[in-house]
Amino acid sequence: MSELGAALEAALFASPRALTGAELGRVLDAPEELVERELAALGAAYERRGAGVQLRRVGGGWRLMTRPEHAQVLARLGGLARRAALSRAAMETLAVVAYRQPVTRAQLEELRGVGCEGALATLLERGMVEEVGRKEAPGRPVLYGTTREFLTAFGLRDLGELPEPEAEELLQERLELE
Amino acid sequence: MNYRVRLEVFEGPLDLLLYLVEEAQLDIHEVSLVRVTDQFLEYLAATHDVEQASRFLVVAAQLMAIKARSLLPLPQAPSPREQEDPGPGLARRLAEYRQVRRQADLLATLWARESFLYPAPDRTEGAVQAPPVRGTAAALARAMAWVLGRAEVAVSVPQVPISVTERLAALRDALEGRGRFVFQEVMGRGRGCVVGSFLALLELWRTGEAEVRQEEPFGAIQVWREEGA
Repeated sequence: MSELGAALEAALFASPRALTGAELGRVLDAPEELVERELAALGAAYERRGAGVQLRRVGGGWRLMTRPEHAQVLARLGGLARRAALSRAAMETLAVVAYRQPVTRAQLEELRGVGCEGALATLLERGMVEEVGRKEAPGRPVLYGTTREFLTAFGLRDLGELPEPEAEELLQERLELE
Repeated sequence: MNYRVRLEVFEGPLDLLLYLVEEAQLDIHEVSLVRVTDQFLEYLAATHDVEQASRFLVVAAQLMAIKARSLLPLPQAPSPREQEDPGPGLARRLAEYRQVRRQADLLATLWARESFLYPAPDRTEGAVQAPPVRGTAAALARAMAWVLGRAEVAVSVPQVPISVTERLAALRDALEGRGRFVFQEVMGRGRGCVVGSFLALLELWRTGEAEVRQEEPFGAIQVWREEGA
């Protein structure tokens, strides 16, 4: 492995969050294209030798992570920081923000039919959602959108990777309604 | 609802009145909500029928909402379906909510999948770090007592009384002195003062002391003395 590749591996191993190609380039004083090429080589090398870790692209950056096959082993290991669960209300609120952003709180509440203040506060506090601007409407309400943290936590590269409900499922719903 | 409303344009149960207004068979502008409310208060004073009162509130609030909506200038035509036909609107909202639920399911699946990958995304970044706990409840109580002892407990919320009578006098002065003025120049500063001035303006208009005109929403409000007053 090249010296740069080894340094990249060290940086990714030590970092608790995803690192972008640009960030890594700055840290390692190397051109971004070169960094991206080395990252690809690093990821391919892990795949080739069936390594226990994988290089994943999430939220516009790169993370070194374990593979799902070893979930049970790690669970038995214990003592690993587990992230706190998200409540159903928070998950629904997050779904509205993620799929329809940017949205105001009033829009959120209309869609869910209930108040969203608590769920929204949780999501803001956990860095999944942030204020992205204000709507040009009476009262200039705050608009909310998802963060990079959200993409990372859900293993998504970008919003384009948000899963869509199956078309058949949607059709079925419509038939039921009619 | 056995309570009945009596108006020039309508006589009968209140919920029937709401129904007719909603179905646009009765013009909301023809319905005096003040009259409706006054009548009900009389009824309530006579019967103490609290159960009717809560039902009255619901229906009256809906009437009020319809009337308020019809009085407000709308920036663009509201989608007519939403206003006139609650049936499809409700079905659409239900469908939208189902979609939200399904999307939440999909997110939950992703979340579960990611939950078994390590290291977990760092959640401490930017969060408040819990201080190391080395103490007892008694020590905490002592510390709290010390803090409270030092704190100045002097909270006063200044209240600036705004009297509509006073604002009315100010508007009358402007009317006397200038004969014509723009409301925004006289209304004063601060929310309370503006509200008081506006109530005073309505009063001037109601008594016929002044003519009021606003050419466009949020535009200047012209106020001038009524001819011959």
